[in-house]
Amino acid sequence: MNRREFLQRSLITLSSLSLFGCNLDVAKRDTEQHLQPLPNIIPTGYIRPPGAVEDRPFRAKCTGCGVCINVCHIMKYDAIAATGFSGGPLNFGLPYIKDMRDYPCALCMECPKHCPTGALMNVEKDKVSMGMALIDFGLCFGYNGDVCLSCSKACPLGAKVFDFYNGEWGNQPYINEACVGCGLCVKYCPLGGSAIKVVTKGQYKTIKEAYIGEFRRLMAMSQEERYNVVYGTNLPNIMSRGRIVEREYR
Amino acid sequence: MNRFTLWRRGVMAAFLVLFILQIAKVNIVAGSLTGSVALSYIRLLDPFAYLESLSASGDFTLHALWSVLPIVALYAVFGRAFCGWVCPMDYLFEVVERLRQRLLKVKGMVFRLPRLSGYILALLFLIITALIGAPVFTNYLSHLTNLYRAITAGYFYLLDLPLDLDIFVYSTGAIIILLVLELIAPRLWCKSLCPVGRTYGLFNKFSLLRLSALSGTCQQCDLCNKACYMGVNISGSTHGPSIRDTDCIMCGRCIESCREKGKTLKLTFKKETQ
Repeated sequence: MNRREFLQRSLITLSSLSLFGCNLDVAKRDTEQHLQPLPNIIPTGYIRPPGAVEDRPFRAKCTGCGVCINVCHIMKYDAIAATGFSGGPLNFGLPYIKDMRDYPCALCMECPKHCPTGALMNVEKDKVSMGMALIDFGLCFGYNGDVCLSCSKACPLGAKVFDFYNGEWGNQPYINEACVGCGLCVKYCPLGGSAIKVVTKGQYKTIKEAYIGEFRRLMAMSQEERYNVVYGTNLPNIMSRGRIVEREYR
Repeated sequence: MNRFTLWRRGVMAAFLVLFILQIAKVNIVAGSLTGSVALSYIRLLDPFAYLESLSASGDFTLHALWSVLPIVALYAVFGRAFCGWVCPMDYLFEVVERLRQRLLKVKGMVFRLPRLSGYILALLFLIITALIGAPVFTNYLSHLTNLYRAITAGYFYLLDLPLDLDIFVYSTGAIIILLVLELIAPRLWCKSLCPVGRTYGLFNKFSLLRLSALSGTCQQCDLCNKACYMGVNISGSTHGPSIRDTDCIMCGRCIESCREKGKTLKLTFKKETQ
Protein backbone atom coordinates (compact mmCIF):
# COMPACT_ATOMS: atom_id res chain seq x y z
CA MET A 1 0.00 0.00 0.00
CA ASN A 2 1.59 3.24 -1.06
CA ARG A 3 1.07 6.57 0.54
CA ARG A 4 -1.67 7.79 -1.75
CA GLU A 5 -3.68 4.65 -1.17
CA PHE A 6 -3.21 4.89 2.57
CA LEU A 7 -4.39 8.50 2.63
CA GLN A 8 -7.42 7.68 0.52
CA ARG A 9 -8.43 4.79 2.72
CA SER A 10 -8.00 6.67 5.96
CA LEU A 11 -10.01 9.57 4.55
CA ILE A 12 -12.85 7.26 3.55
CA THR A 13 -12.80 5.54 6.93
CA LEU A 14 -12.82 8.81 8.81
CA SER A 15 -15.61 10.34 6.76
CA SER A 16 -17.77 7.23 7.03
CA LEU A 17 -17.17 7.15 10.77
CA SER A 18 -18.18 10.77 11.14
CA LEU A 19 -21.25 10.21 8.96
CA PHE A 20 -22.21 7.20 11.04
CA GLY A 21 -21.85 9.22 14.23
CA CYS A 22 -24.02 12.00 12.85
CA ASN A 23 -26.71 9.53 11.87
CA LEU A 24 -26.79 8.01 15.33
CA ASP A 25 -27.18 11.45 16.83
CA VAL A 26 -30.02 12.38 14.50
CA ALA A 27 -31.84 9.14 15.21
CA LYS A 28 -31.62 9.68 18.96
CA ARG A 29 -32.91 13.26 18.70
CA ASP A 30 -35.82 12.10 16.54
CA THR A 31 -37.05 9.53 19.03
CA GLU A 32 -36.67 12.08 21.84
CA GLN A 33 -38.98 14.44 20.00
CA HIS A 34 -41.62 11.84 19.45
CA LEU A 35 -41.55 10.94 23.11
CA GLN A 36 -43.20 14.06 24.51
CA PRO A 37 -45.76 13.36 27.24
CA LEU A 38 -48.94 15.46 26.98
CA PRO A 39 -48.13 16.46 23.38
CA ASN A 40 -51.03 18.91 23.15
CA ILE A 41 -49.62 21.10 25.93
CA ILE A 42 -46.84 23.16 24.39
CA PRO A 43 -44.69 24.69 27.15
CA THR A 44 -44.53 28.48 27.18
CA GLY A 45 -42.23 30.56 29.34
CA TYR A 46 -39.10 29.42 31.09
CA ILE A 47 -38.65 27.39 34.25
CA ARG A 48 -36.32 29.54 36.34
CA PRO A 49 -34.00 28.24 39.06
CA PRO A 50 -35.53 27.79 42.53
CA GLY A 51 -36.30 30.94 44.50
CA ALA A 52 -36.58 33.13 41.40
CA VAL A 53 -38.63 36.27 41.98
CA GLU A 54 -41.51 37.22 39.65
CA ASP A 55 -40.84 37.43 35.93
CA ARG A 56 -40.33 41.20 35.54
CA PRO A 57 -38.17 41.80 38.63
CA PHE A 58 -36.18 38.70 37.74
CA ARG A 59 -35.37 40.11 34.33
CA ALA A 60 -34.43 43.43 35.92
CA LYS A 61 -32.27 42.04 38.69
CA CYS A 62 -30.42 39.22 36.98
CA THR A 63 -27.15 40.44 35.51
CA GLY A 64 -26.30 37.17 33.79
CA CYS A 65 -23.18 36.70 35.90
CA GLY A 66 -23.44 32.90 35.80
CA VAL A 67 -23.06 32.20 39.51
CA CYS A 68 -26.09 29.89 39.60
CA ILE A 69 -24.93 27.99 36.51
CA ASN A 70 -21.49 27.39 37.94
CA VAL A 71 -22.70 26.62 41.46
CA CYS A 72 -25.06 24.04 39.96
CA HIS A 73 -22.12 22.61 38.03
CA ILE A 74 -20.01 22.46 41.21
CA MET A 75 -22.87 20.68 42.99
CA LYS A 76 -22.77 18.16 40.09
CA TYR A 77 -26.38 18.68 39.01
CA ASP A 78 -25.73 20.78 35.88
CA ALA A 79 -29.41 21.67 35.68
CA ILE A 80 -29.16 25.37 34.84
CA ALA A 81 -28.36 26.77 31.41
CA ALA A 82 -28.44 30.30 30.01
CA THR A 83 -31.28 31.18 27.63
CA GLY A 84 -30.33 31.75 24.01
CA PHE A 85 -32.13 33.84 21.43
CA SER A 86 -35.21 31.59 21.44
CA GLY A 87 -36.89 33.60 24.20
CA GLY A 88 -36.50 36.99 22.57
CA PRO A 89 -34.03 39.69 23.59
CA LEU A 90 -35.46 40.23 27.08
CA ASN A 91 -34.88 36.63 28.13
CA PHE A 92 -31.40 36.45 26.62
CA GLY A 93 -28.70 35.23 28.97
CA LEU A 94 -30.99 34.51 31.90
CA PRO A 95 -30.74 31.13 33.62
CA TYR A 96 -33.37 28.42 33.20
CA ILE A 97 -33.71 24.70 33.73
CA LYS A 98 -33.24 23.33 30.25
CA ASP A 99 -33.32 19.58 30.22
CA MET A 100 -35.42 18.12 33.03
CA ARG A 101 -35.38 14.65 31.56
CA ASP A 102 -31.64 14.27 32.12
CA TYR A 103 -30.63 17.16 34.38
CA PRO A 104 -33.45 18.07 36.81
CA CYS A 105 -33.13 20.53 39.66
CA ALA A 106 -32.44 18.65 42.89
CA LEU A 107 -33.69 21.46 45.16
CA CYS A 108 -30.33 21.63 46.93
CA MET A 109 -31.06 25.36 47.31
CA GLU A 110 -27.47 26.40 46.76
CA CYS A 111 -28.07 28.82 43.88
CA PRO A 112 -30.46 31.16 45.75
CA LYS A 113 -28.02 31.23 48.63
CA HIS A 114 -25.24 32.29 46.29
CA CYS A 115 -27.02 34.71 43.92
CA PRO A 116 -25.33 38.08 44.41
CA THR A 117 -28.06 40.26 42.90
CA GLY A 118 -31.13 39.01 44.72
CA ALA A 119 -32.79 37.71 41.53
CA LEU A 120 -32.98 34.37 43.33
CA MET A 121 -34.20 34.71 46.91
CA ASN A 122 -33.46 32.18 49.57
CA VAL A 123 -36.76 30.49 50.44
CA GLU A 124 -37.81 27.24 52.02
CA LYS A 125 -37.75 24.16 49.80
CA ASP A 126 -41.51 23.74 49.80
CA LYS A 127 -42.19 27.44 49.07
CA VAL A 128 -40.32 27.32 45.77
CA SER A 129 -42.50 27.82 42.71
CA MET A 130 -40.56 26.88 39.63
CA GLY A 131 -43.37 25.11 37.89
CA MET A 132 -45.94 22.37 38.08
CA ALA A 133 -45.48 18.73 37.12
CA LEU A 134 -48.31 17.17 35.11
CA ILE A 135 -48.75 13.43 34.69
CA ASP A 136 -49.84 12.10 31.32
CA PHE A 137 -52.60 9.72 32.45
CA GLY A 138 -52.44 7.85 29.17
CA LEU A 139 -48.80 6.93 29.65
CA CYS A 140 -48.33 6.60 33.43
CA PHE A 141 -47.91 2.96 34.55
CA GLY A 142 -49.92 3.71 37.70
CA TYR A 143 -53.02 4.57 35.68
CA ASN A 144 -52.73 1.56 33.44
CA GLY A 145 -52.74 -1.46 35.68
CA ASP A 146 -49.38 -1.25 37.42
CA VAL A 147 -47.86 -0.19 40.73
CA CYS A 148 -44.85 1.95 39.98
CA LEU A 149 -44.53 4.88 42.42
CA SER A 150 -41.17 5.94 40.98
CA CYS A 151 -42.20 9.61 40.81
CA SER A 152 -43.31 9.75 44.42
CA LYS A 153 -40.11 8.08 45.54
CA ALA A 154 -38.01 10.60 43.64
CA CYS A 155 -39.98 13.63 44.89
CA PRO A 156 -38.03 15.66 47.47
CA LEU A 157 -41.31 16.77 49.08
CA GLY A 158 -42.93 13.33 49.08
CA ALA A 159 -46.31 12.92 50.72
CA LYS A 160 -47.00 16.64 50.64
CA VAL A 161 -47.24 16.62 46.88
CA PHE A 162 -48.61 13.21 46.00
CA ASP A 163 -52.19 12.00 46.38
CA PHE A 164 -52.81 8.32 45.64
CA TYR A 165 -56.02 6.98 44.24
CA ASN A 166 -55.51 3.27 44.69
CA GLY A 167 -57.86 1.15 42.69
CA GLU A 168 -58.33 -1.70 40.34
CA TRP A 169 -56.43 0.10 37.61
CA GLY A 170 -53.27 0.58 39.58
CA ASN A 171 -51.76 2.79 42.21
CA GLN A 172 -52.80 6.05 40.61
CA PRO A 173 -50.60 9.00 41.66
CA TYR A 174 -51.90 12.55 41.37
CA ILE A 175 -49.59 15.55 41.79
CA ASN A 176 -51.38 18.34 43.63
CA GLU A 177 -50.66 22.05 43.64
CA ALA A 178 -48.01 21.85 46.37
CA CYS A 179 -45.65 20.70 43.60
CA VAL A 180 -42.72 23.07 43.17
CA GLY A 181 -41.70 21.88 39.71
CA CYS A 182 -38.17 20.67 40.34
CA GLY A 183 -38.48 17.90 37.76
CA LEU A 184 -36.88 15.04 39.67
CA CYS A 185 -39.94 12.89 38.93
CA VAL A 186 -39.47 13.60 35.22
CA LYS A 187 -36.03 12.05 35.32
CA TYR A 188 -36.94 9.02 37.42
CA CYS A 189 -40.07 8.05 35.50
CA PRO A 190 -39.14 4.65 34.00
CA LEU A 191 -41.21 5.17 30.86
CA GLY A 192 -39.27 5.92 27.70
CA GLY A 193 -39.29 9.71 27.36
CA SER A 194 -41.02 10.12 30.75
CA ALA A 195 -44.75 10.38 31.39
CA ILE A 196 -44.42 13.68 33.27
CA LYS A 197 -44.07 17.18 31.94
CA VAL A 198 -43.30 20.33 33.90
CA VAL A 199 -44.93 23.61 32.91
CA THR A 200 -44.60 27.02 34.55
CA LYS A 201 -47.09 28.02 37.24
CA GLY A 202 -48.43 30.71 34.92
CA GLN A 203 -49.20 28.21 32.19
CA TYR A 204 -50.70 25.79 34.68
CA LYS A 205 -53.36 28.37 35.57
CA THR A 206 -54.52 28.45 31.95
CA ILE A 207 -54.72 24.68 31.50
CA LYS A 208 -55.79 23.77 35.05
CA GLU A 209 -59.48 23.31 34.21
CA ALA A 210 -58.86 20.99 31.30
CA TYR A 211 -56.29 18.95 33.20
CA ILE A 212 -58.41 18.41 36.29
CA GLY A 213 -61.43 17.73 34.06
CA GLU A 214 -59.48 14.96 32.33
CA PHE A 215 -58.56 13.44 35.71
CA ARG A 216 -62.18 13.55 36.94
CA ARG A 217 -63.40 11.98 33.71
CA LEU A 218 -60.93 9.14 34.16
CA MET A 219 -61.96 8.58 37.77
CA ALA A 220 -65.66 8.53 36.94
CA MET A 221 -65.32 6.04 34.09
CA SER A 222 -67.14 2.75 34.26
CA GLN A 223 -65.25 -0.55 34.26
CA GLU A 224 -65.79 -1.29 30.58
CA GLU A 225 -64.94 2.20 29.38
CA ARG A 226 -61.73 2.18 31.37
CA TYR A 227 -60.89 -1.31 30.06
CA ASN A 228 -61.22 -0.05 26.50
CA VAL A 229 -59.09 3.01 27.19
CA VAL A 230 -56.32 1.07 28.93
CA TYR A 231 -56.14 -1.93 26.63
CA GLY A 232 -57.25 -0.20 23.45
CA THR A 233 -55.00 2.85 23.31
CA ASN A 234 -52.80 3.33 26.36
CA LEU A 235 -51.01 0.00 26.68
CA PRO A 236 -49.95 -0.20 23.01
CA ASN A 237 -48.53 3.33 23.38
CA ILE A 238 -46.64 2.38 26.53
CA MET A 239 -45.38 -0.85 25.00
CA SER A 240 -44.03 0.95 21.94
CA ARG A 241 -42.15 3.35 24.20
CA GLY A 242 -40.89 0.47 26.27
CA ARG A 243 -39.30 -1.03 23.22
CA ILE A 244 -37.58 2.25 22.47
CA VAL A 245 -36.23 2.34 26.00
CA GLU A 246 -34.78 -1.13 25.57
CA ARG A 247 -33.10 -0.11 22.36
CA GLU A 248 -31.62 2.98 24.03
CA TYR A 249 -30.20 0.98 26.89
CA ARG A 250 -28.66 -1.62 24.65
CA MET B 1 12.96 45.51 35.02
CA ASN B 2 9.42 44.80 34.00
CA ARG B 3 8.58 43.71 37.46
CA PHE B 4 5.18 45.43 37.53
CA THR B 5 4.15 43.79 34.29
CA LEU B 6 5.31 40.41 35.56
CA TRP B 7 3.37 40.77 38.80
CA ARG B 8 0.37 42.01 36.92
CA ARG B 9 0.37 39.02 34.59
CA GLY B 10 0.74 36.75 37.59
CA VAL B 11 -2.23 38.22 39.43
CA MET B 12 -4.31 38.24 36.26
CA ALA B 13 -3.48 34.61 35.52
CA ALA B 14 -4.23 33.67 39.13
CA PHE B 15 -7.71 35.18 38.89
CA LEU B 16 -8.35 33.47 35.57
CA VAL B 17 -7.18 30.13 36.95
CA LEU B 18 -9.38 30.54 40.04
CA PHE B 19 -12.38 31.10 37.81
CA ILE B 20 -11.47 28.23 35.50
CA LEU B 21 -10.98 25.84 38.45
CA GLN B 22 -14.76 25.85 38.89
CA ILE B 23 -14.96 23.67 35.80
CA ALA B 24 -13.17 20.98 37.82
CA LYS B 25 -15.71 21.58 40.61
CA VAL B 26 -13.17 23.27 42.88
CA ASN B 27 -15.26 25.73 44.81
CA ILE B 28 -12.93 28.65 45.53
CA VAL B 29 -14.69 31.14 43.31
CA ALA B 30 -17.92 30.49 41.41
CA GLY B 31 -19.35 32.76 38.76
CA SER B 32 -17.66 35.44 36.71
CA LEU B 33 -16.06 38.83 37.22
CA THR B 34 -19.50 40.43 36.91
CA GLY B 35 -20.74 38.63 39.97
CA SER B 36 -19.26 35.76 41.91
CA VAL B 37 -19.15 33.93 45.19
CA ALA B 38 -15.85 33.45 46.95
CA LEU B 39 -15.42 30.40 49.17
CA SER B 40 -19.17 29.79 48.80
CA TYR B 41 -19.77 32.48 51.41
CA ILE B 42 -18.73 35.97 50.25
CA ARG B 43 -21.02 37.25 47.52
CA LEU B 44 -19.33 39.73 45.19
CA LEU B 45 -20.95 41.99 42.61
CA ASP B 46 -19.44 44.44 40.17
CA PRO B 47 -20.43 48.05 41.11
CA PHE B 48 -21.71 48.95 37.65
CA ALA B 49 -23.68 45.71 37.47
CA TYR B 50 -25.15 46.67 40.83
CA LEU B 51 -26.10 50.13 39.56
CA GLU B 52 -27.75 48.63 36.47
CA SER B 53 -29.57 46.01 38.47
CA LEU B 54 -30.74 48.73 40.84
CA SER B 55 -31.93 51.08 38.11
CA ALA B 56 -33.67 48.29 36.20
CA SER B 57 -35.59 46.91 39.15
CA GLY B 58 -35.98 50.14 41.13
CA ASP B 59 -35.83 47.93 44.17
CA PHE B 60 -33.16 48.58 46.79
CA THR B 61 -32.33 45.45 48.76
CA LEU B 62 -29.78 44.85 51.47
CA HIS B 63 -29.01 41.49 49.83
CA ALA B 64 -27.53 43.14 46.74
CA LEU B 65 -25.89 45.89 48.79
CA TRP B 66 -24.07 43.32 50.88
CA SER B 67 -22.67 41.74 47.73
CA VAL B 68 -21.38 45.03 46.33
CA LEU B 69 -19.86 46.34 49.57
CA PRO B 70 -16.81 44.00 49.65
CA ILE B 71 -15.90 45.13 46.12
CA VAL B 72 -16.35 48.80 47.04
CA ALA B 73 -14.14 48.28 50.09
CA LEU B 74 -11.51 46.46 48.03
CA TYR B 75 -11.24 49.17 45.41
CA ALA B 76 -11.45 51.99 47.94
CA VAL B 77 -8.04 50.62 48.86
CA PHE B 78 -6.71 49.78 45.40
CA GLY B 79 -8.39 52.39 43.19
CA ARG B 80 -8.89 51.40 39.55
CA ALA B 81 -6.46 48.51 39.95
CA PHE B 82 -9.22 46.20 38.66
CA CYS B 83 -8.55 47.25 35.07
CA GLY B 84 -4.80 46.74 35.27
CA TRP B 85 -4.54 43.76 37.57
CA VAL B 86 -7.72 41.65 37.29
CA CYS B 87 -9.58 42.29 34.04
CA PRO B 88 -8.46 39.59 31.56
CA MET B 89 -9.21 41.86 28.61
CA ASP B 90 -6.07 43.81 29.47
CA TYR B 91 -3.95 40.82 28.55
CA LEU B 92 -6.00 39.98 25.45
CA PHE B 93 -5.68 43.58 24.29
CA GLU B 94 -1.94 43.47 24.79
CA VAL B 95 -1.68 40.29 22.72
CA VAL B 96 -3.62 42.00 19.94
CA GLU B 97 -1.37 45.02 20.23
CA ARG B 98 1.73 42.87 19.88
CA LEU B 99 0.19 41.09 16.90
CA ARG B 100 -0.41 44.41 15.23
CA GLN B 101 3.14 45.60 15.87
CA ARG B 102 4.84 42.37 14.82
CA LEU B 103 2.70 41.19 11.94
CA LEU B 104 0.97 44.22 10.52
CA LYS B 105 3.68 46.68 11.53
CA VAL B 106 1.25 49.58 11.70
CA LYS B 107 0.37 51.88 14.52
CA GLY B 108 -3.23 52.00 15.54
CA MET B 109 -5.24 55.16 15.35
CA VAL B 110 -4.62 56.89 18.64
CA PHE B 111 -7.71 58.93 19.16
CA ARG B 112 -9.78 59.38 22.22
CA LEU B 113 -13.17 60.75 22.96
CA PRO B 114 -13.49 63.42 25.64
CA ARG B 115 -13.65 61.95 29.10
CA LEU B 116 -17.15 63.26 29.64
CA SER B 117 -18.45 61.03 26.84
CA GLY B 118 -17.54 57.95 28.89
CA TYR B 119 -19.65 59.18 31.78
CA ILE B 120 -22.48 60.13 29.42
CA LEU B 121 -22.37 56.64 27.90
CA ALA B 122 -22.49 55.02 31.33
CA LEU B 123 -25.42 57.24 32.30
CA LEU B 124 -27.12 56.42 29.01
CA PHE B 125 -26.82 52.71 29.79
CA LEU B 126 -28.40 53.28 33.20
CA ILE B 127 -31.29 55.24 31.66
CA ILE B 128 -31.94 52.68 28.90
CA THR B 129 -31.74 49.99 31.55
CA ALA B 130 -34.40 51.73 33.63
CA LEU B 131 -36.63 52.13 30.58
CA ILE B 132 -36.33 48.56 29.31
CA GLY B 133 -36.21 46.95 32.73
CA ALA B 134 -33.20 44.74 32.06
CA PRO B 135 -29.50 45.40 32.65
CA VAL B 136 -28.50 46.30 29.09
CA PHE B 137 -24.75 46.65 29.36
CA THR B 138 -24.07 43.93 31.90
CA ASN B 139 -26.27 41.30 30.32
CA TYR B 140 -25.64 41.91 26.63
CA LEU B 141 -22.48 43.94 26.00
CA SER B 142 -20.17 43.55 28.97
CA HIS B 143 -16.81 42.01 28.13
CA LEU B 144 -16.68 40.40 31.59
CA THR B 145 -20.04 38.69 31.31
CA ASN B 146 -19.45 37.62 27.73
CA LEU B 147 -15.94 36.28 28.28
CA TYR B 148 -16.91 34.08 31.21
CA ARG B 149 -20.16 33.11 29.54
CA ALA B 150 -18.19 31.96 26.53
CA ILE B 151 -15.87 29.92 28.77
CA THR B 152 -18.79 28.37 30.66
CA ALA B 153 -20.72 27.59 27.48
CA GLY B 154 -17.55 26.19 25.94
CA TYR B 155 -16.94 23.66 28.62
CA PHE B 156 -20.62 22.79 28.93
CA TYR B 157 -20.48 22.01 25.23
CA LEU B 158 -17.34 19.91 25.61
CA LEU B 159 -18.78 17.98 28.55
CA ASP B 160 -22.10 17.48 26.69
CA LEU B 161 -24.16 19.24 29.36
CA PRO B 162 -27.38 21.15 28.60
CA LEU B 163 -26.78 24.59 27.12
CA ASP B 164 -28.04 26.91 24.41
CA LEU B 165 -25.31 27.07 21.82
CA ASP B 166 -26.32 30.55 20.61
CA ILE B 167 -25.05 31.89 23.95
CA PHE B 168 -21.58 30.62 23.08
CA VAL B 169 -21.72 32.03 19.56
CA TYR B 170 -22.97 35.42 20.73
CA SER B 171 -20.46 35.79 23.57
CA THR B 172 -17.48 34.71 21.51
CA GLY B 173 -18.60 37.08 18.78
CA ALA B 174 -18.84 39.96 21.23
CA ILE B 175 -15.31 39.31 22.49
CA ILE B 176 -13.96 39.07 18.94
CA ILE B 177 -15.62 42.37 18.04
CA LEU B 178 -13.85 43.99 21.00
CA LEU B 179 -10.53 42.54 19.87
CA VAL B 180 -11.09 43.88 16.35
CA LEU B 181 -11.91 47.26 17.87
CA GLU B 182 -8.61 47.05 19.70
CA LEU B 183 -6.86 46.32 16.42
CA ILE B 184 -8.27 49.50 14.91
CA ALA B 185 -8.23 51.85 17.87
CA PRO B 186 -5.94 50.77 20.73
CA ARG B 187 -7.51 50.98 24.18
CA LEU B 188 -10.49 52.99 22.97
CA TRP B 189 -12.69 50.55 24.89
CA CYS B 190 -10.76 50.95 28.15
CA LYS B 191 -10.22 54.68 27.82
CA SER B 192 -13.60 55.94 26.73
CA LEU B 193 -16.28 53.32 26.30
CA CYS B 194 -16.24 50.74 29.10
CA PRO B 195 -18.63 51.89 31.86
CA VAL B 196 -17.24 49.32 34.29
CA GLY B 197 -13.84 50.99 34.11
CA ARG B 198 -15.47 54.41 34.42
CA THR B 199 -17.10 53.33 37.66
CA TYR B 200 -13.86 51.94 39.04
CA GLY B 201 -12.13 55.16 37.94
CA LEU B 202 -14.18 57.12 40.45
CA PHE B 203 -12.45 55.12 43.20
CA ASN B 204 -9.14 56.67 42.14
CA LYS B 205 -10.24 59.97 43.65
CA PHE B 206 -10.08 58.68 47.20
CA SER B 207 -8.25 55.36 47.04
CA LEU B 208 -5.39 54.56 49.42
CA LEU B 209 -3.19 53.19 46.65
CA ARG B 210 -2.20 55.90 44.18
CA LEU B 211 0.47 57.02 41.80
CA SER B 212 2.63 59.59 43.52
CA ALA B 213 5.31 61.81 42.06
CA LEU B 214 8.23 63.37 43.85
CA SER B 215 8.24 66.95 42.65
CA GLY B 216 11.46 68.41 41.33
CA THR B 217 12.98 65.15 40.13
CA CYS B 218 11.06 64.81 36.87
CA GLN B 219 13.02 65.79 33.79
CA GLN B 220 10.00 66.00 31.50
CA CYS B 221 11.31 63.37 29.09
CA ASP B 222 7.74 62.19 28.36
CA LEU B 223 8.72 58.51 28.41
CA CYS B 224 5.96 57.77 30.91
CA ASN B 225 3.32 59.43 28.76
CA LYS B 226 4.38 57.28 25.84
CA ALA B 227 4.33 54.12 27.93
CA CYS B 228 0.91 54.83 29.45
CA TYR B 229 -1.71 53.26 27.26
CA MET B 230 -4.51 54.92 29.11
CA GLY B 231 -3.29 58.31 27.96
CA VAL B 232 -2.81 59.86 31.38
CA ASN B 233 -0.78 63.06 31.33
CA ILE B 234 1.79 61.95 33.91
CA SER B 235 4.76 64.19 33.22
CA GLY B 236 2.46 67.18 33.18
CA SER B 237 1.24 66.49 36.72
CA THR B 238 4.46 65.55 38.52
CA HIS B 239 4.44 68.80 40.48
CA GLY B 240 1.57 67.63 42.67
CA PRO B 241 1.94 65.09 45.46
CA SER B 242 -0.12 62.42 43.73
CA ILE B 243 -1.69 61.81 40.36
CA ARG B 244 -5.33 61.06 40.96
CA ASP B 245 -6.43 60.67 37.38
CA THR B 246 -9.58 58.59 36.88
CA ASP B 247 -7.93 56.93 33.87
CA CYS B 248 -4.96 55.54 35.80
CA ILE B 249 -5.24 51.76 36.12
CA MET B 250 -2.28 51.33 38.52
CA CYS B 251 -0.43 49.18 36.01
CA GLY B 252 2.99 50.68 36.77
CA ARG B 253 4.16 50.95 33.18
CA CYS B 254 5.10 54.58 33.74
CA ILE B 255 7.31 53.55 36.66
CA GLU B 256 8.98 50.89 34.52
CA SER B 257 9.68 53.36 31.77
CA CYS B 258 10.87 56.20 34.01
CA ARG B 259 14.50 57.20 33.68
CA GLU B 260 14.73 57.99 37.38
CA LYS B 261 14.00 54.38 38.30
CA GLY B 262 11.69 54.28 41.27
CA LYS B 263 12.60 57.78 42.36
CA THR B 264 10.10 60.07 40.74
CA LEU B 265 7.06 57.89 40.29
CA LYS B 266 5.79 55.41 42.84
CA LEU B 267 2.68 53.38 43.58
CA THR B 268 2.25 53.99 47.26
CA PHE B 269 -0.11 53.65 50.18
CA LYS B 270 1.70 56.30 52.21
CA LYS B 271 0.01 59.45 53.36
CA GLU B 272 0.26 62.46 51.15
CA THR B 273 2.95 64.83 52.32
CA GLN B 274 3.23 68.53 51.36
